[in-house]
Amino acid sequence: MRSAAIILVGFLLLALESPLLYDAGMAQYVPDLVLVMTVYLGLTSSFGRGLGIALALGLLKDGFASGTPIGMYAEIGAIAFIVSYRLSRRLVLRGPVGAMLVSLVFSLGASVVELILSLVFVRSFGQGSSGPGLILGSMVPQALVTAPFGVVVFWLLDRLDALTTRKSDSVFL
Amino acid sequence: MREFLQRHRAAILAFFGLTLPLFLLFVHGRHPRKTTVIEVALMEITGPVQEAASRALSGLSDLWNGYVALTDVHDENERLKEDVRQLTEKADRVRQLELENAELRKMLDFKKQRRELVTVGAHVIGKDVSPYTRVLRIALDVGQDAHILEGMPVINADGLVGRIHRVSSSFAEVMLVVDARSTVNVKVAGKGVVGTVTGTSSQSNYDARMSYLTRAEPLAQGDLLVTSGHDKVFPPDLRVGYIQSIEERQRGVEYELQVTPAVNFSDLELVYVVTDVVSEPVEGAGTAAPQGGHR
Repeated sequence: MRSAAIILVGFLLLALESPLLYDAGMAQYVPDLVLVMTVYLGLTSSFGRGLGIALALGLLKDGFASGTPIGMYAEIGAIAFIVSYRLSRRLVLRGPVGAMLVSLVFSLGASVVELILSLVFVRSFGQGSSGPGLILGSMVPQALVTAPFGVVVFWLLDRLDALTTRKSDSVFL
Repeated sequence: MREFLQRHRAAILAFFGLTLPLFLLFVHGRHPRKTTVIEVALMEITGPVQEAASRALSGLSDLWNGYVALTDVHDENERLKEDVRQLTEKADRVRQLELENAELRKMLDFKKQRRELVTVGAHVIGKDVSPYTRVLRIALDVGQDAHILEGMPVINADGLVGRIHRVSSSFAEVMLVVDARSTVNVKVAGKGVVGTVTGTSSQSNYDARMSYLTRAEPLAQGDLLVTSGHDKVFPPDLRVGYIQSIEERQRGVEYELQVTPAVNFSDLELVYVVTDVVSEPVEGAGTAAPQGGHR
């Protein structure tokens, strides 16, 4: 139930974010909402189930992202999940600032991973408008845009968890 | 084996979780290549949702833009309403001036024809109106200060309106020709029939009746009645009315006919009080100014 709800929310966020941000004139710096969801999963879910959801969300993002080859965001999602899962044993996250900070750091890390994966696996990387310069140039603005959305997504998933697992208290906020 | 899988479950899952996407990335990162089944499947899943989301947001955007546009339309509507109000006011003023101008022109023509009449122009400032919008009494903005006296004839370009009934220093009241108390000596224009016109007006209509003794010539509907001047109150040849119907009634030795007044009493704005009648036209007499002439 929880897994399906999270995948559905991710699906809807992915469907809405692109046209919404395009209308808002922010198409260049899209907040990585799926990445934030994956981090949340890593901090709150069991390993097997969380990894499965992270892969599913990553694949969905691959489906929505037309510029990158399929597998890119699934791989980034899997890495982000595993890292955040490992961190959850050592990290106690509290408040909006913590959520923003984690989102910021993971967004920067995801950009670096994307750059590496693109350099290794994408043959056409560097042709046309794509290239390392594009990823490096946009990674900081994208991280800054993603960070505040971290608070929103964490709050949203907290509410969702409260609904699906009948938890009454908030984990992060 | 099972124990091994249980013990290393997380590592195995992590291995597959990391290698599967890498494999997909390896396959799809090649260039050039054909579209894969996974790509088609993802497109089939995401396409309709993307389209629906885009339409929904587009609809919301249109709704918002429509709302903003409607706000503009509302402002524009208010502005146009104000413009219409101002233009309507101007048009009304122009129409009023046109009517007044036409009235003055008519009066001027009348004055040219009747130069012997010394008149004082006056505005109708009050009308007593019945529930049927019939004017029973009118008040003028001239009085004794303008040498207006009781009994003076009041006319306009259409004909005889009535006579001054009451007068104060600045105002005067007029008894209309159609008032039941009013009697005017008349003759049928172009025919040798004389008589008197008495008001028979009620709240529902303006009427008068003509009483006469003998019929020198046969009368016809629409025949014009003018003042005869025999009563020494009204100058001769002022239009009083028209024979409404030739169905005459005999009352004693007199015959009676219904008369339609020449003046539209509902529409009176400007009138002239005849203050004097001179045999030789006086220079400057007959102007529309209230300080006009002397009796």
